[in-house]
Amino acid sequence: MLRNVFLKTLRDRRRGLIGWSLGLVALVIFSLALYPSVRDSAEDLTKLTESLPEEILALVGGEIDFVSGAGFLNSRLFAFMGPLLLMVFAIGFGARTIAGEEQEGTLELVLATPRPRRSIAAQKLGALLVAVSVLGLVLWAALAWGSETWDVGVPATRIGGAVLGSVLLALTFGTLAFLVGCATGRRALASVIATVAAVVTYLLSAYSTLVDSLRPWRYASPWYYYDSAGVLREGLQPGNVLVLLGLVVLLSTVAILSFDRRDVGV
Amino acid sequence: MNAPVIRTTDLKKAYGRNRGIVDVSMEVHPGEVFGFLGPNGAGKTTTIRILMDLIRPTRGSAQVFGLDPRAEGPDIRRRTGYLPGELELYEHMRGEDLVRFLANLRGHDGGDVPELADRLDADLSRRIGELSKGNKQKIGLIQAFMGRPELLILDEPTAGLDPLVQHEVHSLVSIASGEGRTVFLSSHNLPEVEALCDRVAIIREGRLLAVEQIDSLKARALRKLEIHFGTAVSATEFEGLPGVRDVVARDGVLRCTVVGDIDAVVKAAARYRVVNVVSNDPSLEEIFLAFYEGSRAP
Repeated sequence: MLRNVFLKTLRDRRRGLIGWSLGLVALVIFSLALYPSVRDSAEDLTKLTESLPEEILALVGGEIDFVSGAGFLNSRLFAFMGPLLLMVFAIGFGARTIAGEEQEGTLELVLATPRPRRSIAAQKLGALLVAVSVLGLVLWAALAWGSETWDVGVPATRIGGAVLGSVLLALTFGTLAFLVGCATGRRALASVIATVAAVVTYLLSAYSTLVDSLRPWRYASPWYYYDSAGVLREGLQPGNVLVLLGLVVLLSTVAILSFDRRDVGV
Repeated sequence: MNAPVIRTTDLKKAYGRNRGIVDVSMEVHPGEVFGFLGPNGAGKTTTIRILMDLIRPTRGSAQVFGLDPRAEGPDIRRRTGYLPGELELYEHMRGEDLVRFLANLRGHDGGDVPELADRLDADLSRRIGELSKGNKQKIGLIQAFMGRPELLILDEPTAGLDPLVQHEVHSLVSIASGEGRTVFLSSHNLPEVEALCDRVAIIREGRLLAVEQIDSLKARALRKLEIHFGTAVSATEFEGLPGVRDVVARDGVLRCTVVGDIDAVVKAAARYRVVNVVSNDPSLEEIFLAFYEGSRAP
């Protein structure tokens, strides 16, 4: 694990990765174990809503999905909680791995080795991608198992699609934090900018369905291309995956180039 | 003469607040121990960090092994051992893991690490966070010297260390120099530079004041001299002696400042009964003084 910067960066995060994995598994268990009882009471609720006059139903959006496994998984995990947790991990990692080590001063000896700067940045970025993907795999495995166990009834491939979307969304903001860290060497700034970007684009995406004047702007939010509800019901849209992937590649490239250009540790 | 190992030409680095360096030009030749002398904040670290391609010059150029740090940094760093002035190590790692990691990145097996650790009496088995400053510095020294690099760039290698470790650093430098390797050593400690270096560059407030042989530096140094006599003496007898100035004689004690060696004063004093002679090694400030006075004279 000490052979290169990539492996050493993962090695540094091994305890964190184990802790986060356990946390995600616990989250999945506590969420999905509730599903059978939620479904039972939701059937009563559905009967109630069916008896309501149409005007009132229209007020609350016409249709409320309590019963389906896809609706439950989305509202419980994918609409917010799942991507949020992966994002917290990815932003923390992205801000810390260059900017954090630079501010501590520990990066200096690594940069004094014959490895080119771009390679060091790229390897650290690779560790970020792999670490978030590992958490995604853990989340997927736990959900596939839990969905089977508690009879949620969403196929593992659909769940995998939603997890892939969450991972890409988390990596979008994780690589943004990495980029700001690479360009400025300031860890706190990197965390703050990436977090603010995640929150603002989330709100943009949420309000753009309600406020007409915001509608054209919905394409500007990465969350729009995430669309976990759609993925769980109908499967992944390749176009959406490509947009998020493209964002990650773009931010990564700019990050590596900007780190190569500037003074370090000033 | 062989091509210089390090050559800087009108090197300039501008920072916001008056720090940085201006017009630094010097050459370090193969096999020499070159001292880079100046007080803290004079620009020593800035110059060194340009050589290591951690920062880029505003103007001018630097070359190491005839290569450009910006374009050919990896080729330079493969042949260079570096000890930063403000050494920070991964505290969660054990010393041996960090050293192995850095050896891997340098592309060698770290075969001489046990020998170096032995010589420095370094504990590589403990977590670095548990080590004292001196013991951390030993790990910094090991990673700089391992693999016998052709060039060693040591930024304040003994600052804040106890005399025992300082002594070990000096002997490591002597060994490296004995093997014909080049050492670029920054320091604010004149006796250290005197003891180790062949030539010295003096830097202050970002500007090089001089690049000199150590011997000629000493010859130009101002020395404060105090001679206690058994009888009263008069200042006039010492005032005209070559290199002697600021003569004050009172109550049988003569105080003066001498440029270069003190031969003339001692011979003049020998005519009387001399009780005691107090001569202070010139401090860094006094050497700077000498250069300022030198530059004022035509």
